[in-house]
Amino acid sequence: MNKINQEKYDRVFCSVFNVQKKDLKDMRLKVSEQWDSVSHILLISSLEEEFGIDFLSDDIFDIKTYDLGLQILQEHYGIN
Amino acid sequence: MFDYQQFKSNIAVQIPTGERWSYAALQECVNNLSQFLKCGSLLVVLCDNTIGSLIGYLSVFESKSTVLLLNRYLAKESINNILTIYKPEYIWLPEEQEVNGLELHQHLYSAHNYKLIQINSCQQPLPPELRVLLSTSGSTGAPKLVRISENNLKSNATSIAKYLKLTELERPITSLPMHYSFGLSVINSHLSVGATLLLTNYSYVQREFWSFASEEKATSFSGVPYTYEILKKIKFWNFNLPHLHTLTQAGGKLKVELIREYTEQAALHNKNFVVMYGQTEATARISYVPQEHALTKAGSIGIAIPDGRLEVVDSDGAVLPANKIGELLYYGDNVCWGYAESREDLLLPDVNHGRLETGDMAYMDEDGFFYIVGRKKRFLKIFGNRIGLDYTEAWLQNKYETEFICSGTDDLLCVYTTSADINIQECRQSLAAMLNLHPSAISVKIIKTLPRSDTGKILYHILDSL
Repeated sequence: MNKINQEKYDRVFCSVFNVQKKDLKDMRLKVSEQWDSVSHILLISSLEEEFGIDFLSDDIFDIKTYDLGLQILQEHYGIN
Repeated sequence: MFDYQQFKSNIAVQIPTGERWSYAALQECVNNLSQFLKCGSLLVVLCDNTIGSLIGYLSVFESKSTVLLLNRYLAKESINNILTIYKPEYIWLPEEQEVNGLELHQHLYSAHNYKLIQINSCQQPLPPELRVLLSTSGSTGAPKLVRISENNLKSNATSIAKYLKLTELERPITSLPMHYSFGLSVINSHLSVGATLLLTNYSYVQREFWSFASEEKATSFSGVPYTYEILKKIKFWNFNLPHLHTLTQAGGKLKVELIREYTEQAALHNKNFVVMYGQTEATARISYVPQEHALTKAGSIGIAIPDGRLEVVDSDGAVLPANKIGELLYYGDNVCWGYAESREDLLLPDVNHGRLETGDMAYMDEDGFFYIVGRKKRFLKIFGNRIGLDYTEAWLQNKYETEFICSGTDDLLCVYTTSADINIQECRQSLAAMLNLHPSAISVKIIKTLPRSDTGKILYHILDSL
């Protein structure tokens, strides 16, 4: 992912979960305290808005970690 | 309350690992625990949607004791605060969970990854019919409790089973927590008819939740307004769930456009979308919209549940005719006994006698359907949980030692202060942490002056337009 998109991606994560950049890689859906059902949907909506995309249901379920989100954006939505 | 023998060979509970319990097996588990509980004692259960938690809840019906259901993920300080105020004889909690000072107490029993600990010696027995205590706000664990009797639970479960036409063939999936009155009502109404609970801690934003629903042929699903916003986002109508026939909604007002959309989509997919209304003070349910009126009465809270009655009254208590706005009153055997704010309050008798002032302002139309227009008491429902505005104001004023006013709409709490020194971000974060909410549900604004009437009362309607 290019630098601009990478920064956008990180900014969305940091603001939704209110955490530092260094902590992003450890976050897990329904495991990390900040990543519950409510913030998950906020994350999905924020990513959709930021990148101008509309996620498929499968992808909404699969974005369970920071790395999986990056991978899905690149492979399924061509965000590079 | 529950007739385990009548349904002994039915499956009562099924969990995602494939394990299941018949009504007979469940009864045995419940009896194993209840023999440790003294009649008239208080048991605290730290809840999630697991078999251990469910058995803890059910055990008090056998021992004729009282259970206080709390979210196991509440902040430690909140749990400790409640334990200090209510001095429960026992606590039933997950094996791995620690609560300050528990290691000093007697460990009585363990099963299903839960442990029973006696934390106080036996005190004056509580009324034998007092069965459940629920916090007035599930998310913050406000120490004010609603006192619910066994008869309240029985009455509400029966009414719900009647209007939703529940049978032993039902297989509801637990999408709400059991310490929340709505979630608990799903459990009670279904166990009372011999149905099968699909019990899971997975959330509807996880694929595992929907796989479980699909593989185990879930027949119904329940949600608060926010749940239905989420289902729209995850494109729920594309899922293949042929056995799912009922979606119920309560816990706050869903936007009318969404009610219409869900009702129409449900009809296209051979399902029912049922809008309901209730309060913890009425054990759970107060009213529902019958299916044949779902579209024409969209936006209404419907009619009273079977064996209940609703009326709208003016400030003097006189019943108002159709289309006049007043306070909504509810009458029924499911109206709780009252509140408690201390251990001593748990000894109080029923002070409501089947009559509940809902605190909601409403009117009735010519066809007898009720519509809520606002609230008399000051609270919001955020993600289905009640947030008291006076309590929040007091907490903020105490923390920052300056004036704060809280207002807002459901799903958005608006905080106003005249103090320019407040760090908006920090204030938002601390408040979110205290209320156990996501910060996006809170807005903090600094304003020059607070709008007041001539008599000094805050003009909330002006605040909301700022």
